[in-house]
Amino acid sequence: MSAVNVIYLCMRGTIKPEVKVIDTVLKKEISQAFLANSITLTPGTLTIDVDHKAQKLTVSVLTPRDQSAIIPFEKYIKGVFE
Amino acid sequence: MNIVQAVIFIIAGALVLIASFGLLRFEKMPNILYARLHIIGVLDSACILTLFAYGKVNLALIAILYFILTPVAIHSIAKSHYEGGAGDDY
Repeated sequence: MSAVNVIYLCMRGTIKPEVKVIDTVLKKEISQAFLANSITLTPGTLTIDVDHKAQKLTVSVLTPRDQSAIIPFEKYIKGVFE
Repeated sequence: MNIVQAVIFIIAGALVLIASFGLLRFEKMPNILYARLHIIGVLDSACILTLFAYGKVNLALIAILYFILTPVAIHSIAKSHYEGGAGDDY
C-alpha cells in the first residue's frame, strides 16, 4: 500500500508539495485515463487534471521527483493500447 | 474477536494516530492542501483494513466500495481547489 511511504515522509517531516505539469506521448483517451489512474496509485503522486488535446497531465507530488519517476508505466500503457 | 483481529485493530488505530499527527504538524507551506490529501490516504488504508478484519461479507463489500470511491472524492477536492484558483489557505 502507498501508505507506508507517506507515513515515512510524515514522520521525517521532509515533504515539499509541488504541482507539476508533465507531458505524455499517449494520444488515446483511454490510455491517458489509465496513465492518470496509475499516477494516482503511485505513492506520493496524485493526478489533478488531464488535458486530452494538449497531452498534458497536472500532477501533485508530495516530494520533488523527476518526470520518469512519476510515470513509470507510460511505456507499458503505450504498448498495450496504442 | 480473536487475536488476529485485535492486532489488526491496534495497527489501524496507530495509523489513525499517525495520520492525525501528520495533518496537524505541517504549517505555512505552499500547496499544503495537496500534501494533506496525501496524508488522508493513510486513513483510507486504516479504514479498509478495519472493515476487512471483521470477516463479514457486508463489511467487505463496503470496503471495496470505499476503495473505489475515496480516490474519486480526493481527486474532485484537488481539482476543484486547483481550478478554483484559491490561494494557500493554511
